[in-house]
Amino acid sequence: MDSIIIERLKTDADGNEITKNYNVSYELGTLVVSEISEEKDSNGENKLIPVMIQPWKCLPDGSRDNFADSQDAFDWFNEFKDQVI
Amino acid sequence: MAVLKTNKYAVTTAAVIEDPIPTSNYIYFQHDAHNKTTFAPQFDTWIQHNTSGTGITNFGYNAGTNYYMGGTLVLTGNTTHVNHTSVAINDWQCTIDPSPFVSMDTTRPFAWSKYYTDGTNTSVWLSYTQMYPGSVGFATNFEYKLNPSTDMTKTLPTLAGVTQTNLGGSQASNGNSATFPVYINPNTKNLVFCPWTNSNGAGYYIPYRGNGAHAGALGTANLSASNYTGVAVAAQTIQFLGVGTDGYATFFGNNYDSDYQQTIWKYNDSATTITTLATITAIPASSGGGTLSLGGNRAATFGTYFPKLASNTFQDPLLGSGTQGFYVPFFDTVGNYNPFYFQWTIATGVINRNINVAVSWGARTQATTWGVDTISASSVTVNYGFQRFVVNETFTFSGTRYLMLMQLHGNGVAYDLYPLMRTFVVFSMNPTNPLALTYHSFVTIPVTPKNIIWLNTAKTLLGVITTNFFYTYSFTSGTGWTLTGSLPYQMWAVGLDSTGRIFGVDRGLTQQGQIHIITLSVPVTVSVTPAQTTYNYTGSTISSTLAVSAYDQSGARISTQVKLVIDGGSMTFGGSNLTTTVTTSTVADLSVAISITDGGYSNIIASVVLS
Repeated sequence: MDSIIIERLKTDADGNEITKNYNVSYELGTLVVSEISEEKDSNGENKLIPVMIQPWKCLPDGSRDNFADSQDAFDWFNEFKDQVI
Repeated sequence: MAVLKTNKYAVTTAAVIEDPIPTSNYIYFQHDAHNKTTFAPQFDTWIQHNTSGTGITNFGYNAGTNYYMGGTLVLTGNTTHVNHTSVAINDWQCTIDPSPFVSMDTTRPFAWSKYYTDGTNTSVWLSYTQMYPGSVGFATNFEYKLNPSTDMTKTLPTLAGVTQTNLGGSQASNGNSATFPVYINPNTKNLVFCPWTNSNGAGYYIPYRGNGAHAGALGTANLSASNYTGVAVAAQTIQFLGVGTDGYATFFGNNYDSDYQQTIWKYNDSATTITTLATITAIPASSGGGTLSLGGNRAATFGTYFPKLASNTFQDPLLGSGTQGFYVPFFDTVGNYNPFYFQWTIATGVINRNINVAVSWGARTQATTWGVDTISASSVTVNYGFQRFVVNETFTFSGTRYLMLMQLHGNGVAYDLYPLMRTFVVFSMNPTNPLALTYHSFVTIPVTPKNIIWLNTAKTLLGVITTNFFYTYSFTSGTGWTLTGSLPYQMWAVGLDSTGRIFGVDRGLTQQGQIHIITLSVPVTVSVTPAQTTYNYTGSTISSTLAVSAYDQSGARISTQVKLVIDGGSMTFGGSNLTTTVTTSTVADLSVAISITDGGYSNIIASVVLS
């Protein structure tokens, strides 16, 4: 399983821009996105909150296609993250 | 129309709450129970809003003044609320109630008073808006009751005053938002919400959207664990598209800083994750011009910061069973209205956006019929982003599907001097080709329309709420929309109860609500057909029948009293009676006996008996 961390700027409740970090992994043709929480689990690791399970990439015209590989999946999420989550 | 009651007591509660429990026959004016059918007061009986059953507890929001809830209706049918606090343009108080449009699924509409069951457990949800006080454009909160008794006078709330905070996750930090419960997932039993606006803290940027939200066990458990995936998504409206074959909700997001970007996704309320079905970012190419779109990304002169809502769904005539179609407003590079036609295959979630919808205006032109709002603010960093919007809505009449383009403004005066901006335009859809629309008719609202309410399920009766009048319209295929009533009241809410009666509420003398029952003046057609076209009278009385039916303006049979009068000397209704009053049937012709007693002509005059 390949995985990367992607940063994203969002706006919080006070109107301030904040950075959210996402663990983005790819396995067997499916992209899985989890928000990296600041809360720790029992092992002292940051908790991962599942956000998105994506078995295909959506194309700009509304159609869809399979991810070619992990890089293709990561590129797709990076391009569309502000539109989808 | 009749004024049913002027509420007199300074308490925090809705003007009217309809008991949604099927075994209940109560409706509540403020706290007091009345018979739902006759409106007769019930002795010493009131709705319980207190979780411990002691005392009489408020319902709704109170920021120090009781009457904030006095303009609200909590009914089981369509209900639209309107804020009349400000007539300024670009003011957060002009934010429009989106509830008439949040569900595109006609089988799963949002209702402010709702009863849910999974066959074993039941729950009641009373939603209410708190749009009047404070600095919130529009927001909703809730009271719910788990496994209620036979009515809400005997049932204590499980939890009253449920706020968005109780709906959990990071949504808690966006406490002033509007979230609408839309259905129970048949598999997970979760109550699923359409997270419409998500005001963004101090700025209250609206509309925002969430990805989905739910509460467990018919909405009555694990509220704090309900999911909200991160901070809301900016620059998109959200509508509930429908339910997939797997039971999960599908939502439709439309950008309002462009016309061509849409996102459609599935919300898994079991795993609290989403799967994107379509992320459309392609600027549409020209389809050729003429009746077809020129495509492109329209210039700001044709409207900026421009929320646009999609129509209800209907079975797609091109793909057939298992698919749904809907229209989304699109204005091409020169501002021509050429909506997108979307197709959704429910089982697979496959989305297809058609950009080549032809709009034929016939002898008219768009420029002389309809005008886009160019006077509202264009900035996105404002808290009044939903003070105006465009929506196209679809309905059928006598087998023909129509699409109506509407533009609303929440301040109630913005379009007064601009008739084209307050004109609703109707197009007919080719019955086999949804990509072909033809201009049908238009109606210009007398003043700025603040919001609408559909007054019947068929959407052929329309109410338009303005600052000082409530207008009613009925639709026919021949003339389009016809104004049938103008009620000189500033309605804060208009809604339907479970029997289809229309309630309105203005603030009244005490600001606690003056409750109206609104009776529509609608055309009724009476059909009287003799069993034979001619009778040959030879000196003996001939027994025969008349087939009598009455139809409403939509062509549906109705049961009503019809007075029949024979004008002539050759026929009677029995004995020597020349008049009779009959009650028509909702399912078949009514057979009325007649006797031919002489030669010559007789006319039969029919009239509806008004009660």
